[in-house]
Amino acid sequence: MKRSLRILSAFVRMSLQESMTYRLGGLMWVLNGAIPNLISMYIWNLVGGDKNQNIVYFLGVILLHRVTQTWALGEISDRIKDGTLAQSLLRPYSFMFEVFAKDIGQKANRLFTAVPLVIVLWLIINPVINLNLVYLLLAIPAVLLGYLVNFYLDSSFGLLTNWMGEAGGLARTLEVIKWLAAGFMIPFVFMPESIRNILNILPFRYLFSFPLELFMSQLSQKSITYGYLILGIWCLILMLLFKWLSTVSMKYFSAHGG
Amino acid sequence: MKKIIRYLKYFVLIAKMSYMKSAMYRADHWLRILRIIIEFGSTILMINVLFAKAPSLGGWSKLEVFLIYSIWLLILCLHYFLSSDSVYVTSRDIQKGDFDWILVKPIDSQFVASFRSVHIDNILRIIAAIIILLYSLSSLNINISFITIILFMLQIISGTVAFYSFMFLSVIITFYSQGREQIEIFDALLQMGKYPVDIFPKYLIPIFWSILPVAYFSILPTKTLLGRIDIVSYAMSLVVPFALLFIVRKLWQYSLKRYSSASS
Repeated sequence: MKRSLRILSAFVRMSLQESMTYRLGGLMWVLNGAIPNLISMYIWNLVGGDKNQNIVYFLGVILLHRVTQTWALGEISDRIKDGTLAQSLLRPYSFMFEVFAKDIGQKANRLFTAVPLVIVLWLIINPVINLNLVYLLLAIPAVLLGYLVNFYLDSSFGLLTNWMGEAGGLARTLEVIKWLAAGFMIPFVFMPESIRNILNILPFRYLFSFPLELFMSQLSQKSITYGYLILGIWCLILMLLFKWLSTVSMKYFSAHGG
Repeated sequence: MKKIIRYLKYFVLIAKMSYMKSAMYRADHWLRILRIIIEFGSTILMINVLFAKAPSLGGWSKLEVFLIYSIWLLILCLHYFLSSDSVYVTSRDIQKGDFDWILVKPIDSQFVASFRSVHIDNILRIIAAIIILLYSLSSLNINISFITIILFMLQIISGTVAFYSFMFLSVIITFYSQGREQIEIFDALLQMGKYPVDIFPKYLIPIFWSILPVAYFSILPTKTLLGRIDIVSYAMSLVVPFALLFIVRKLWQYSLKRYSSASS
């Protein structure tokens, strides 16, 4: 355990240094992610609903998107495609350490820009909202579990490159599904009930809509329990799926280079 | 004429190569199609959800917004069909210093940089855009004359030129910034075109008519179909995109002088 943590922290440091060499890039990526949210915020405010809630929701999405974001699919897929995974497999630790550490480093870089951006936007727009400390605390584990769900989901899909040879289409399809089902384009509360019922049992809502609904104290005690239950189940399912896929799919791995 | 045929032959060759490349990974190819369907369905859902909450969006009815969206989608897909991810690939080459191989080719460097591959899957999106366009027009009960169709088609061409010019500007920036992230920002900004741009704050409107030419591939062609366009706006919709193309061309030629290879 101690050794694993040491390896992980070394990789996180390395990844952070690497991502910090081009800081402007981080700012650009955050702005790029924030623009669609700001457009959506403006449009949803035009059609009605509680303006303060809309503002907090979309500002929250800008931030949470960065917290639960993962680059695992691209990272795993690239290693399989260019054969560099072969080198990683020879090392005395799982290659997932590197993938996870790279995620943390990139995330820290994005958050360095996203946090001040959201604070500035919050101060400019100045939404009025009553925050509840208990709900706020309840949102923190939901964010962490949301990230794990996203990480294992992306990692499992990344491993499919062993069969498919190319995962560009898969990555983009998954991204579009997340945009729709996680509440990026349409806030979950505005979704038609029939669609909401389906999305409730899928993992995507838990990437940022569920933690945000908690943060904004929009959920009843029953919904919180139900949400955490589904989130926990998905976390477990995806973790097991990843473990199974990493054993099975590696039989199909053939390094072309590396 | 000979020159045009030569360039067309080059383009056909690129299209064939792109198709062969995408057919190599069939599962991935079908997933890209699935993505197009989901993306399309989610925007339709979003417009429906928006109009379930309000009868109009800044004075535009639901069917009119569908019309705007279909025209925006048509121009977006025409651009991506013809140019695919050329802006990304060219920017990457400039950044890595691999741009030399474009410069040594015996055809215009901007042409090669703009048409690196053809995205065949976009034909599906073009068909989807035309279906919504026809559906919206028939539901709005609008009789369209032959002249209106010609005027509209000219705007589709000029709108595609405006879209291309703006996206290509992001490639030119790579010569100066050495980063590629601006492409994503340019792309995100163009997403505004799927909504009626006159709903945004008044101070942004002049920008949508000039530097960020969103008006030319969304509300102006829509207004032509709806018979609400005035002659000045129509003239602008044809002139401004080509003026932008001219500026981009000059900037490209100027920026080429700044390029220094980082490779051998």
